[in-house]
Amino acid sequence: MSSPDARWVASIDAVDRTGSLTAVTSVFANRGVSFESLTAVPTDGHGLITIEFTASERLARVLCRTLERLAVVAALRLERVGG
Amino acid sequence: MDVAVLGATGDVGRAVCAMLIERRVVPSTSRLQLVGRDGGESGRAVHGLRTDLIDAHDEHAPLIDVGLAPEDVVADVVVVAAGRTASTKPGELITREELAAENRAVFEAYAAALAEHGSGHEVVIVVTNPVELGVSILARELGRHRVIGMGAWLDTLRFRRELAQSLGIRRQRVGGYVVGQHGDAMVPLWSTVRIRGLDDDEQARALTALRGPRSLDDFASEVAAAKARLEEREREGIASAFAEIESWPPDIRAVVRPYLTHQSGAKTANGTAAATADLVDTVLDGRDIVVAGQVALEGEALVGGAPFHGVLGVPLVVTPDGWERVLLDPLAPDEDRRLAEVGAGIGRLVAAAGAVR
Repeated sequence: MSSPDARWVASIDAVDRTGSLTAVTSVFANRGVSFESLTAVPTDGHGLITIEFTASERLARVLCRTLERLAVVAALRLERVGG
Repeated sequence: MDVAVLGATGDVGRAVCAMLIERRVVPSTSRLQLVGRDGGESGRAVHGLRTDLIDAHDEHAPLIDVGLAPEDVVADVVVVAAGRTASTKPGELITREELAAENRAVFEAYAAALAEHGSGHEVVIVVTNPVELGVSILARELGRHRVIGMGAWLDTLRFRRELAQSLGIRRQRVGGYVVGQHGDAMVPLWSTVRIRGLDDDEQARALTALRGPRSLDDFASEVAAAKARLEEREREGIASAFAEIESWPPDIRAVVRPYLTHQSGAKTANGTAAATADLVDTVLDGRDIVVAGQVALEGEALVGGAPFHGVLGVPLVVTPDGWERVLLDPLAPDEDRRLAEVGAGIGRLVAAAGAVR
């Protein structure tokens, strides 16, 4: 039984190059999770991608484990909004 | 969706990876995870394999990721091709029981890691032999509907191909299933064979001509005799042994031709990979499709007049969530007897390896 849906913010330290954003967003799209907001900001050779989305805790964990396997993702932090 | 191949650098693992990319089963927006063993040869080779696959398929390659431990596995479909395979060297034949003893630890390590770290929704396709043992161990940890053994589908494709060859047609015009245990103890269901383009009478005549008066009651002894005969012919040369196979019935050929192919040193990696890619494609396809596979049953099939409990190859409906219904229609008496015998043998193999189901 999955926990109820909650709002999450994923802060992703990604390599700043063509295709990084596509790789990251495909992970969400392939699992039917849409964004409530998405920002991408270049920072000293890297890119900080911030994505806000709604999902169960289980699905949020699956998304993070999958994102962490991408070569373009250097680090990732997931925070529950309001918790 | 993402696919992980455990044992990616083995003969079968490599072929599976290449075929998943070539057939576009894993699209360019998804991830193919190559999993090897840290500290082993595969832990080095898996990095090279990643580069080689990108070299070969850069135009449409998926994102390719390397994993080096069971806990690294992250995917929607997991292909288990890790572990030892039977030797191809003369005099180094390994029994299914010996293989079970060696590969049990591999199955258990991945089953435990997927149970602890996985999404709870991965579909696992077991290729490593004994496939029935792998299904038993992984189904126990992950839930039986998420685990499908590939062997029965490969045996089914081989049986269909042999029937098609005898009839002078292509495999896609032949239907029918092989059930039971993968390999020598396969149970070819002649009662399920359908030949497209023939009416019932024409089909019955064609099948009678192909099968003759034989029944599955003698199938095990026929296979044993055929393998002994092949050993004799191999002394005259491998081509002579392959030529001898052509004179045998299709169901016998379906067993012994892959056996000789493996023993020849060529192995059967491409055929195995094609059947595996079929199953992965079926799971990802999103439609309910009937294939054959080894699964852990809890009474969904009647064998020998009773609901069967344990691992057995059966025709089943595969969906993106795993397998659903078993589609084993009432069998001919000789098929039912043989399947009951084979089912009991699988139970003994699984129990002897210490995995109870």
